[in-house]
Amino acid sequence: MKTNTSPTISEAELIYLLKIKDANALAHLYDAYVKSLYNIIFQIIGDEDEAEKILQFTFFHCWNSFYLFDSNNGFLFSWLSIIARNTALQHKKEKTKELSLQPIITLAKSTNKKLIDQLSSQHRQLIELFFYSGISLLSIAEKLNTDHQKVQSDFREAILALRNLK
Amino acid sequence: MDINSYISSGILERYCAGALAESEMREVERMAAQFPSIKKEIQAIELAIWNFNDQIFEGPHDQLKASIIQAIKINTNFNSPIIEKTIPSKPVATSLETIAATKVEPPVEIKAEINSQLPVVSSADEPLKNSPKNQKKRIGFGIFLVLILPIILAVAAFNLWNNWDSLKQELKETKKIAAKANSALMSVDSNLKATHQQLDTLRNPDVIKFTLSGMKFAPNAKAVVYWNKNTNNILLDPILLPLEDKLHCYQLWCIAIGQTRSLGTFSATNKNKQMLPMSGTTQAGVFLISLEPKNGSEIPNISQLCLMSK
Repeated sequence: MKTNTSPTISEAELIYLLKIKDANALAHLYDAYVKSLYNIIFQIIGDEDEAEKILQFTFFHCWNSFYLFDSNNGFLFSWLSIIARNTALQHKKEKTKELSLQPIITLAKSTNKKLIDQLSSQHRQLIELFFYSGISLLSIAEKLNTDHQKVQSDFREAILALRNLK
Repeated sequence: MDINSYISSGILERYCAGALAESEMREVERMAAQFPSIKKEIQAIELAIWNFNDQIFEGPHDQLKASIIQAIKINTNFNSPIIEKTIPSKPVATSLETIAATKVEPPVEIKAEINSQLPVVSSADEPLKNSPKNQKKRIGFGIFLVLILPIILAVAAFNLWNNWDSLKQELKETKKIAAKANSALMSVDSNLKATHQQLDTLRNPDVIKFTLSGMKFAPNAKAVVYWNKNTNNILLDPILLPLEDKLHCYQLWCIAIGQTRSLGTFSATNKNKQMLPMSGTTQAGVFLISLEPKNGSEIPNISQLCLMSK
């Protein structure tokens, strides 16, 4: 997925550099994924300082446990975003003791209104609840008093909508 | 297998979002390795999620890159070779076997006290000779004993009576010393049992050893984590850690696939130098020890990382 990384390096090259712990790999990794990972964390935590701390730990985690990443089968951004999201949710859970249905930072506060306006309110809600509140699709179905399969199907549609954003 | 219905089932979206259980994730990865259309679909979903999150907010400030890279450089072995786990082929602690074979004795000072209370047997005492030349002397001595002995015994009984209290006191002291020695023996015995248990753990071929090396914050620190891959039990051997102050504690962490878990807090004041049983983990990747506030933290403070496994 060359588009994910800096112009001078492909994802395969980045994975190779990370595997051999090349000194430049971390800078390439940072350039390619920092914004996306930071925004995932920030949406969950809602505090810049805390988000930076968790972002720092995400890169640290990635750098030191990269041998756990299966480059034959795994997908780099999915792996990184799961680390970032899990660490942020774990931090939030410890602070608030339970995960609420209300995200701390809603998509309505996005600095890119043009992008967000392309999503239906239902898709926004599902993305906010799942990605940024950390609530499982099953729990979302229970809270919204609807069928689990319907929520799974709606979630797929919400992701499909992300693929069609301009 | 109908690939199109597999793709449209929504499982790939849930995979990219991290909404699947570990076994389901491995299944999706197997499918992706087998069918290029599934792999392509995952990449498209991944790109969409990445692209969306990349654009919704501005992102962090520009100075953060340098500070994060610097912090990781300082706190890790930045140019270390590829990480390897070491699996001991045979028990490492042969010295523990030596301990097991060693006779258990109370500490030297208690032993000295006990010895001082024991009666001293003189080697100079010899039996009387039974020669005819001495018969007269013996008769005289017998008469002397018959007359004098009752007087001596009476004097001795009088003295004994007078010294009764002091003898009672001495008996009390002797009992105290014996109790002290007994308690020391019990403690040695209990340590020996714990050592045997630990030796059994180390001999187990299911146990994987992770050596933790000191980081910049505590460069001389040393520790070893033993992880049983079947029972998931963890034993921590905090070989050398600087003593923490009252406001802090050490915390052991495990970084596994996509997750960081605290395996509990502990103190470096481990007087008996025993290994510490910590919380278990089903997956083991990298183990870290950091210095954290008294009751531990939610995520490790990497500026206070003391040790990390290689």
